[in-house]
Amino acid sequence: MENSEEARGESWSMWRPKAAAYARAFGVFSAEERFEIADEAIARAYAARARFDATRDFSPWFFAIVRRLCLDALKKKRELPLLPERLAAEPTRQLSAEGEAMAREEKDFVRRFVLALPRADRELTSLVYSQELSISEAALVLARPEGTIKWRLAMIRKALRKAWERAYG
Amino acid sequence: MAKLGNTEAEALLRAYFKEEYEHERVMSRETPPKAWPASLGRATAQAGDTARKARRVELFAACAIIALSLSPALFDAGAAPLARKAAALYSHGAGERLLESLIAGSAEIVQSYSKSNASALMRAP
Repeated sequence: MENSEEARGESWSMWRPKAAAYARAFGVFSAEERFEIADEAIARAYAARARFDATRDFSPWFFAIVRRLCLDALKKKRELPLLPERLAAEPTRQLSAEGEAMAREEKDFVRRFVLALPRADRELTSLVYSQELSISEAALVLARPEGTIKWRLAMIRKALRKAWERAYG
Repeated sequence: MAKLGNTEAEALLRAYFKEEYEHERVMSRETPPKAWPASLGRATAQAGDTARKARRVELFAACAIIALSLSPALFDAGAAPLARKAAALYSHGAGERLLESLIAGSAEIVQSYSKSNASALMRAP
């Protein structure tokens, strides 16, 4: 993040929805809470920018901040049970052509599958498939060995394939 | 529906999360931050710290000038660290606020600087 208002504004518009999308994977935060977390994460990243090692990728560092904030917020919520129906109740807008093209049935299927995943797996899938983090970057954010991350992703894909076969096989 | 392979499974997940991200992106535009995030408040607090430091410097200068005004001998000595520092602060513009502070009440300023220094200053002839 550069030290200028313009750069800060650009960072804000770029990273805010990314942080909110990751916070969404926790399954318990309302839209308002997600954007509060996102704003706080950007502010913290900006305040701590002097400590950021510019030779490294920004994403894992930033998402680690978002994750800490999400976990803190979870604690404040006293670890309420996950409420996937809360997310399900929030209609996902159909915006992109790609999104429009995706069959409604497929979308509902994937949505149900993702919401049924344990929180840690939702986090992982969000980081890898939404934020496009590599295995090693996701491992950094989640503080897990790369091997574990790779194995979990393989298990998630396998579970999705099995669920698909059960539904449509 | 076709059988799902690893690539297709990944494609489905990517498409789902891409749409979620688009959703958040639109919401982000529609819901600008309500207030300056809390941690940026820390920057404000830091600015407050700087202001307090500046205020302490002024108070220090005030005490020094009071001491000097009460003690021509000290002023004449010139070698006293207090006098040197006060002179330096005064030459850097601390004097304007200092005069206001003096008008507001020199005794209060001296007390707020520090009890030990204040008592030393008050004992000055």
